Amino acid sequence: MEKKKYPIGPEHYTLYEEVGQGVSASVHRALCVPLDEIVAIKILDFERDKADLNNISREAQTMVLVDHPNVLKSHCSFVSDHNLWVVMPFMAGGSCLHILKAAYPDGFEEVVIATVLREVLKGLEYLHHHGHIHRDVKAGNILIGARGAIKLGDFGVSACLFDSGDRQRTRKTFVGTPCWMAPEVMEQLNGYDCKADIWSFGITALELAHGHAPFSKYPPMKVLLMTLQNAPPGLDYERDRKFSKSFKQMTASCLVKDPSKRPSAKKLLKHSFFKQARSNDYIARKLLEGLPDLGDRLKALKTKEEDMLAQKKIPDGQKEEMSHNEYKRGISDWNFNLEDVKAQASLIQDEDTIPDRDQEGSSFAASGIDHEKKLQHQISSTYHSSQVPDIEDNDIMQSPLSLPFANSTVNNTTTQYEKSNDDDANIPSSTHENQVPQNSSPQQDNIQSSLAGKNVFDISGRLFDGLGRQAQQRRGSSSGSINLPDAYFLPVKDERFDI
Amino acid sequence: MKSLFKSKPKTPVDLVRQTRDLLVYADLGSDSRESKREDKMLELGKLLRELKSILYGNSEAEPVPEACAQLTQEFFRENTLRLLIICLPKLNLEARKDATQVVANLQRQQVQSRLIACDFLEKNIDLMDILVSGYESTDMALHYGAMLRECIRHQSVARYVLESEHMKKFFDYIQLPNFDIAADAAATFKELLTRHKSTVAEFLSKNYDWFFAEYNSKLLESTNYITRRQAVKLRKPLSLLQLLGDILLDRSNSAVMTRYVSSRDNLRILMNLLRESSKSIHIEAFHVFKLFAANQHKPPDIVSILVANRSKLLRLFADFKTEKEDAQFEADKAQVVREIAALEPKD
Repeated sequence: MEKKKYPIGPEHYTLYEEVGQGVSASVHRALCVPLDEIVAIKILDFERDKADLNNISREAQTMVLVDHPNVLKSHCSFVSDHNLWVVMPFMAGGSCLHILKAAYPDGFEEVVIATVLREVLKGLEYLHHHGHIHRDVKAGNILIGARGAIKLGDFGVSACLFDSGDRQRTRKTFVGTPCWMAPEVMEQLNGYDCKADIWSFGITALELAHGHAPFSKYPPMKVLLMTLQNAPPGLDYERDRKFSKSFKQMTASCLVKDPSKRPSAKKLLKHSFFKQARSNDYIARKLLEGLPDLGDRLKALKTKEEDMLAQKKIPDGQKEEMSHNEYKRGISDWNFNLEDVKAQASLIQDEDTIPDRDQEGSSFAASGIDHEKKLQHQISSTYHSSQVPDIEDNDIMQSPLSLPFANSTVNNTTTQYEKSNDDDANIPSSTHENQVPQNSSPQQDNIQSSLAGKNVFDISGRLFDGLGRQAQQRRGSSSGSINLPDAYFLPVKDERFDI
Repeated sequence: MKSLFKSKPKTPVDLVRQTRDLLVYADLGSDSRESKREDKMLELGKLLRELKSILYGNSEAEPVPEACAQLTQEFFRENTLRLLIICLPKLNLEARKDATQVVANLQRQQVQSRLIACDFLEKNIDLMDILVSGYESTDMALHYGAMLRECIRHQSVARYVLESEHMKKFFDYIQLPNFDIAADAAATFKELLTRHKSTVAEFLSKNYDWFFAEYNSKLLESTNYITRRQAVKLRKPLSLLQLLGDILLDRSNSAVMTRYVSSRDNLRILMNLLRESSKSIHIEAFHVFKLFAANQHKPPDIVSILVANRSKLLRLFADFKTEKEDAQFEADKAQVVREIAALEPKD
């Protein structure tokens, strides 16, 4: 039980090169000086991610309490200036995505895949046992250690089914990286549970086999519709003939649209496909030998991306970049707006006469407009109800703000706000309702405070934040630059108040 | 421990009894051989896991209400909860997590439509002292903290903690250097100060002086963070500010709010926070500052401060924007600007 104590405070660590990057966080290799040990430190900017304080806290708490060889844990976390530092074991091999990009653009061979996936599955079994849904299973979150250890990482968006003592049968929050996202997560009809991770696991299997996820070249809105309407993707292309039947079966069993028909992680571990899995040593020998340093690899990747951007007129490069941005933003906060989905998807659909190479074999379900309409009806009707299940602290909810001494004026403001919301409804980008499920947390801070009036800003801050990022992502796909939020207001440091 | 023969499934009552026996054993820390001890602790871990799966169900089955009720009744019939809390540090991490979830769930289990956990805690209220002081132990904080948050769902238990000496310690706990622990303490602190309205209102009116003095001194610390140590604490004023807004805007606390916004010291602190370099703090500070401006019965000294700083404040608000458009914020801001612009100096 004797545990190594990792020191708290930035002064105990020396930061080295960056080894990973996300939307609001970066990961550095670092030296823990007193222990003389190399670690990884994830640095998260609170100011940029202010809306997600609850998520950040949850992630830090989940990770520090993890104890399983196949799940990345954190040693400790602390605040430095306006950043959160999360100290973790350093995984010298980087993520499977990095390795795919650096050396295996067309995917790994089957034995490697079986080995990696078996370890990932053990990690998932552990998380599911504890009621955690990972919600972001993908090659980019499978990390390889120097000796071939395989760990599932990044709990940025994980959720707990056992939150606050109640078994919450399902979650309804809308998160996930589109390509990896299970249909029921998109639909939000009945909520989802651990089985959503099994779908993502199946998509990850395809990703490891091909070097990229199915639909990865499409914009997110398109992916959404394709996942819902098309037959599930699988290992049924011409070039998949090299793979065994058991691999195809295993993948197909995960990629069933009805979540109740997918196997649990525990059950899936017994699948014959995993019999061929080898040791960590094998992974170290097979994948890591000869690979350049993680930091160098990352640099090379960045250069490559920049080159691609330089020739952005090439549509493929553009798409690649776009989906890469997608990847980086992770599941963090996808918030699909129905109008947006419709608008975007209708623009893209016309291109589909030329099937993408990913599409061979998988049927382009000629679902027609009826189905689509029905689906959208379902989605829109659930947006309104889906905020309800998470509410448990009804007793906290309050009537709208009314200051004892400023009744009329403040109520006025509230009305104004509601009114302006109505106006917004015509603009296909923001309605309040579909924002709430995404942000809803068991604590229900949002709803509660929006009713209390005080934190209405908070909600809207998130609302617009989400949209802003979406817009930014779109911009990013053409210009490639990641735009930081504009200066927020001019500081008045020099100006003192007279009190 | 493993039996060759599949024994018939144990009843929930059996499971609780065996758990209690093993906890008694663990608590005694008897002189038995190390290997035997390890076996027993392993067995205890398994039992806790089984209890958890009865209460929460598992991937195959939903929880059965009768089984949950039997388990709960047996659990609180004797002092199992006390033993479990005391022995928690002796368990391994996985068993601690399972135990925490079991305790959390038990707070909500009704037996003949009574929350018997609450009855038990009222008679064993000193257990709260153990749970609260858990924040002082890096290893136990998250487990005890999670249990504590569930226990204060019961109003009587929350009242005990609010009125105890522990309340003062929370101001330190929420600035502990371990982020995960500080965040947990902040969540508990918030729960204590927002969940049971009448109890909170009563607490705040009785403890107004020390409570807000403490609050202000913690907020003040942030306004001159020159040293690095203080910069490290940046998160704390933010969570304190958010909570302050929540507390003051709660209708049941209106008397406290009126008192708060009549204080010149409070106004000074909030105005200084408006000048912070952190935009998150600006926003939260604004949400409290607006209450001073909106007060229709401002005391003269409040009016004179606002008048003296009128042009600076108006200039500040003119540039005061959120990153993205926000109708509510803009409306609030417009109202604050109107209020301040219309102020007449009082003599």
